[in-house]
Amino acid sequence: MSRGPLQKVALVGLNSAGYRSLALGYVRAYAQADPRLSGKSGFMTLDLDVNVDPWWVAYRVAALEPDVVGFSVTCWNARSVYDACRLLKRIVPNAFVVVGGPEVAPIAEEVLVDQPSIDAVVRGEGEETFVELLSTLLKGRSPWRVEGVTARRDGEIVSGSDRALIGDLDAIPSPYLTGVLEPVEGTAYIETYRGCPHRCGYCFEGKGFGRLRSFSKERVQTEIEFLASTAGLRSFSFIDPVFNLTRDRLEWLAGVMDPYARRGVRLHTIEVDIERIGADEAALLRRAGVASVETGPQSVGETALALCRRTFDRDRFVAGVEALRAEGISVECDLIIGLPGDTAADVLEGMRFVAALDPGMLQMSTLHVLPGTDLWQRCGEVGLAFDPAPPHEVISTGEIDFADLRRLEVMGNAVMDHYRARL
Amino acid sequence: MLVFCDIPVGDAGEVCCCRCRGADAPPHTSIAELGERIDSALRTVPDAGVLLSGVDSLDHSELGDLVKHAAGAGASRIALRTSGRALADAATARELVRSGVRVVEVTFLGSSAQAHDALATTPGAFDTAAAGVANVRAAADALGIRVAVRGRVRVCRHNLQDLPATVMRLAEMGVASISLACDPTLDPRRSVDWVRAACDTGIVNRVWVSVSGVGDGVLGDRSLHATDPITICEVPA
Repeated sequence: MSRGPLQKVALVGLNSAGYRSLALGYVRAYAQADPRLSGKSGFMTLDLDVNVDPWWVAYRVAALEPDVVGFSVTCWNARSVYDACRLLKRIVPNAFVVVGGPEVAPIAEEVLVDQPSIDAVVRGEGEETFVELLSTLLKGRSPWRVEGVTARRDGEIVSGSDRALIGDLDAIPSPYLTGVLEPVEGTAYIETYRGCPHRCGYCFEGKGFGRLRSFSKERVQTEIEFLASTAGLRSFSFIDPVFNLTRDRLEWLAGVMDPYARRGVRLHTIEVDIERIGADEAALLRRAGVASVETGPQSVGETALALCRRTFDRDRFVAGVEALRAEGISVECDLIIGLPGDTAADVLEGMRFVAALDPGMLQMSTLHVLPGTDLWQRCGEVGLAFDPAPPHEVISTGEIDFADLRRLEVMGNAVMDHYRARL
Repeated sequence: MLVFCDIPVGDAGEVCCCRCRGADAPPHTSIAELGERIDSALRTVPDAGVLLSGVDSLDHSELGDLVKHAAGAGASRIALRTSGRALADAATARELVRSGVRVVEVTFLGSSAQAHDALATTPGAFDTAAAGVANVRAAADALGIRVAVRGRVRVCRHNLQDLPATVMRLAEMGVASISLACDPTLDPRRSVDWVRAACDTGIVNRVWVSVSGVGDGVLGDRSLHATDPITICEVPA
């Protein structure tokens, strides 16, 4: 790479329409505040639609003449990212191409084997590792020595040791308070903690980290107050895996959000443990301005639930939906088609269960066997066959063959279409 | 899954093959009687939808009032079964969506004007039905209202071999699902391969095809196609 006076860093997010990458916002805010890079590195973020032609992604990135290009990779944008990287390496051959995110971190070495245009993978939490990688590159040192990085060394692929998690999340500057990120179309995405209390076999929300870490209440409150004062802000979207993590936390968040909820600011599709919601909790959610929540059950089949390490109490689930409905909060019930252990009859029973509940919205998705998840690691044991290429869609299970899975997918779409067609 | 109470607005007369057709349709049932049937059905099956079937419900002179009654009685969804003829008029399609109808099931007998019109004995019937599907979808988009347009095929021995092509044609029209209502007297040995091929055509085009009127086991490894997102519930008059 060229070593000019300023290291130009392009951060690229290929997002669903209307989204901005919060992950890249954190990475950039952290890097901009780091004294090791101060005055030496300049940052530019490109948030593009995932459907943009990779040639145009490369065109936009190349125009920045970057020394380093960083992509945030999920199962949904991986193919587009890889296409863009392949082109970029030919257009800007001296640029150092680095990727991070849940799609690549657990399979860093495989990614570098399969994608020769990528120079390094950041594993795990990205903020500190990316700063140290940039600092290392500035000094002309080898990237593979950096903790949390997998990179190339003389034709080999080498992984530095794992990096410990950031202990104090408040050490990461807010991308909003630092002006790195702005609300999009009246919506701001907020993260109040990292990790997940659950260990569902198909999910990488916890990213393999064994504990929960929270931003301080003061930090969250400051961020919310700042965003709520932004002109045109209409809604918050909390990306926390469980909004009603504890009763205390729910009460606190309801209190923080209450004045904005009274002004009409709404919270959409927050994820909740619905079986822990009664009339009081539903009222707190209403007070916080929650308009809609997203929840399971993902499956009603006992075998699948056990294999995925999930619990499901039908009566409590129904009670939760009814409590929320009584407060005028719409519930999106999610089912996953293709979980190990589920028969076709189990999937149909799940569809009947959620349709009869009439929660407000249904979401039926095919299982994606994501890198790093428990099901990815135990796929042979539980009888899962899946596409090794992202987004890793399930091909067959021990209980449902390829053709019936495709039939259930199409049927699930029809059920959703018909469900939505209502008064 | 989504339960609809079947409320025939007349006792016969749905579009069907002229060679299989029975007696002429009697007149429509009065709105007073239909209103009572709707109330009674929703008392029996609370939170259900209402399907207005039988004689082409779009021809009922008081359809608007009927829809209003069903909505007022608490129907979660209102569906309507039709030949699609009246929906060839875009204004009628828009008014239908505006009135509260959320599922429109249009009956087809074949994959082309030639095949459909010959069995329906109405020249131009296929083209008007296809225009009806397009008009309802366009009206729903324009009004920002979710409406599911379903294709319904009454399957008899006279249109059996055209079934896969009919499903293909309906998929091209953008229907949300297709219901194959098979004549129960069809010989399964003659029908099964065509019905299975029609199901596969739906899957390849990502449109769900449900099959009724065939005996248990006839669908073999396509048995999932016996499941319909819509469960029609017959409520005694």
